[in-house]
Amino acid sequence: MALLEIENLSVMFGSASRPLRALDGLDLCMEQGEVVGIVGESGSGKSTAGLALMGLIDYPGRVTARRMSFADRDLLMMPESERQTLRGKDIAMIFQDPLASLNPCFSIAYQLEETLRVHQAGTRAELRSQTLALLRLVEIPDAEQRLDAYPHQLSGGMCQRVMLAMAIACNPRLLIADEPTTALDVTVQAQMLELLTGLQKQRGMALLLITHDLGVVAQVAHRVVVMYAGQVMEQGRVPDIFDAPRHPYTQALLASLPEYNVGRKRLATIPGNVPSQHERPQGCVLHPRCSNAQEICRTLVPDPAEFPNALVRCHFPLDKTVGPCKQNLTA
Amino acid sequence: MLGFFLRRAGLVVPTFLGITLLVFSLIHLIPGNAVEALSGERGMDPARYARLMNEFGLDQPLYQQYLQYLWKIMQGDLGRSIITHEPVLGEFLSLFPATLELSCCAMLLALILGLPAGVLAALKRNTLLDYSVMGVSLTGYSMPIFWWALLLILLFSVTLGWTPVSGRIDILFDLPPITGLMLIDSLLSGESGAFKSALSHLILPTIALGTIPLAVIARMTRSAMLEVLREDYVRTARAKGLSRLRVIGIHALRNALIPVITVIGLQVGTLLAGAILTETIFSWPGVGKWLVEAIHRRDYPVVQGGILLTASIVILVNLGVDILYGIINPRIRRSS
Ligand SMILES: Nc1ncnc2c1ncn2[C@@H]1O[C@H](COP(=O)(O)OP(=O)(O)OP(=O)(O)O)[C@@H](O)[C@H]1O
Ligand SMILES: [Mg+2]
Repeated sequence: MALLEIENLSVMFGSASRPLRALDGLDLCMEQGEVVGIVGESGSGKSTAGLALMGLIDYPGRVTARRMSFADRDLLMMPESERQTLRGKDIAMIFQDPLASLNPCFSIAYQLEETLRVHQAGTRAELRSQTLALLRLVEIPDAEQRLDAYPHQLSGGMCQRVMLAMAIACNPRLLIADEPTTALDVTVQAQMLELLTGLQKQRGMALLLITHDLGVVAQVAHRVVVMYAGQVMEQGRVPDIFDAPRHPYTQALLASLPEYNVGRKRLATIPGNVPSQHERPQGCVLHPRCSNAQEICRTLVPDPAEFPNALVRCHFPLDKTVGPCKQNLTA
Repeated sequence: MLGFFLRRAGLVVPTFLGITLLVFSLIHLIPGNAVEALSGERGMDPARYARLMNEFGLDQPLYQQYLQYLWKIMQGDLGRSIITHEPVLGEFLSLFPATLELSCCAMLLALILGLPAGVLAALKRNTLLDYSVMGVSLTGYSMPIFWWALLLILLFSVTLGWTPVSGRIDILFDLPPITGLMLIDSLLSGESGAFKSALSHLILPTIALGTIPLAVIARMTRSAMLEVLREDYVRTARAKGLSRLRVIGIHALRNALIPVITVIGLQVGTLLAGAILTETIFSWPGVGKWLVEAIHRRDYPVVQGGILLTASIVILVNLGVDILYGIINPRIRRSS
C-alpha cells in the first residue's frame, strides 16, 4: 500500500462564478522513503499542491479530489482536529523563505520545543535536550549558544536548518520541501540539499521536493512531476524522463538546462510566459507556446495517457527514440 | 537591554527641560502684570509691589529666574496656590489618585474590549461583524467627549436612573483616604454598599473617557492583525500542527501587539487631556477638574505646576511604554 495516494486533486480560488484553477487534477502516488520532485515554472501550482496536502488552503480556496489518502487514512473525510494532529507530526513542510518562516518574537528553542510539546509528552528538561539534539542533527554549529537566539540573529541557511529541525522533530513519514534552497546563498544551497537528502535516507521518510531546478531533481529524486499552469504535463521515473521526455514541455525544460547547451553561445529558452490564472487558453494549456501544436490542441484538453512508468498529458507525445534537443519549441 | 534603556531614559531629560521652559514662560506671556498674576492682588501700592517683585524674584534677569525656577522644582517646590495658599505639589498629590483611578479604568476598558474586538474583526474581515466593529469604533472616535458624556448622563442617570450623575461616591459615606483609589478604599472601609456606590459612580466617566482609546486600539489591532496573519510564520505555526487558538493568540497576536503598544503609549496623552473634560462634566474631584478651576480663577501657580506635573507623567508613561516595546520586540532589544 502506498503512503500517499492522490487522485484528481484540484484547488480553486476566486468566486464560484469565476473560478481560478491553481491546481487542476493532480494525480500523485508516493511510497514510503521515496523522493518525488515537482518542477514547473513560477505560478504552475507547485506550492498550492504542497499546501493542499498539508490542509492549509484557506477560504476562499476550495480543495476537491476524487481520493486523497495518507497511510490508509482518508484525508478528505478527516475532521479538522484529526488533520491538525497529523500536521507537523506525520506530514511536515518547510518553505521557501526561512527567515520569514520563523516567528521573530520567539527564540529558536521556544519554537522547536513548541512543536515537540504539541505532539508528545515530556518534561521541560527532556524537551530541552531533544531540541538540542535536533539542532545538532541539522548540523548547526555551537548549537547550545543558538538555543536562545532569535531568528534575526541567524543567517538564512541557519534559519532553514532550524526549519528543517522543526519539520523532522516528530519523525514525519512525509516531508514536503517547498523550494528549500531557492532563497539561500548559492554556496550553502548544495549543503542544504545534502543535509535534506541525508536525513531523508537516514529516517526513511518520503520527500516531496518542490523546485524549479531540474538539475536538483536529476540529482536526488526517484520520480518527477512536471507541472505547467496548474496541470501535470508529465510524470514518471527520473532516468526515463531525462533520457526520453515524451512531453514537448518537459523536453523544452530539459533543453534549457546548461548541461544540454555546452558549446552554445546562448541557452535555449521557452518563448512566452506562463498564462495567468485569468487567461488560461482553451484546449491544451501549453498550445500557444508549443511548436507541435495542431488544431486539436487548440480545442480539446488532452487527458493524461499512461505509458510504461509514465503519465503524459499531450495529444502528440514525442517519439521515444528522439532525444532532447533534436526537436525544438518555437514561438 | 541596559543600553536601550539608558538611551530611552536619556531622551526624557531634554523633553522635561522643554516643558519647564514652556511653563516658565507662561507667566511672562499672560497679558498684564506678572506680580499681579502671581499674587492675585490688584492695584497695590508701589512699596508692596516692589516687595513682591523681590519675593517672586521677578527683579532678576530672566535666565536667573529660570534657573531659580528649575532649582525650586528639583526640591519639589512648585509654589503655592493663590486661592488656598496650599503647596501646589501637595494639592496635586492628594487629587491625583482620583484621576489615576479614572484613567486606569478607562484604559482597562479600552484594552479589554478593544483588543478582542480588533482581533475578531481581523479574523472575520469583510463580514458584517467586521463592518459593525469598525463602524462603531469610527463613531466612537469622532464623538466629542463632552457631548458623549452628556448623552450618557441623560440616558443612564436622568432617564433610566441607573447611575449617579456626579462625584466619586455617595456623600453618605465618609471614607478615610488610604490609597486614594476609591474602589480600594471603599473595600478596605468594610462599610456595606460603599464599593457598589463607588463602582456605580465610576461607570459613566469610564465609558466617556475610554471610548476614544477603545476605538483607536480596536482599529489598530485589526490592521496589525490583518498584516500579521499574512506572514509566513503564521503558516509555519499552522504547519506545526498548533491549534487555531495558539496560532492566533500566541504567534499572531504577539507580533500584532508591537504596533498596538506604540499606539497605547500615544493614547496616554489623549487620555489625560480627555480626563480634564470628563472630570469637569462629572464633577470628578481629580487633577483635571482642579486645573480647569485654576484656569477660571487665574490661579497661575496651580496652572503652572499642574501642567508641569501632568506633562511629566505623560513623559514617564511613554518611557515605560518604550521599554515595554523593547521587551516585547526582540529585534529592537538585541540589535541596539
Ligand atoms: N491564496 C490564493 N488566492 C488566489 N490565488 C492564489 C492563491 N495562492 C496561489 N494562487 C494562485 O495559484 C497559482 C499557483 O500558485 P503557486 O504559488 O502554487 O505557484 P508555484 O508553482 O508555487 O510558483 P512559485 O514557483 O512562484 O512558487 C498562481 O497563479 C497564484 O496566483
Ligand atoms: Mg511556490
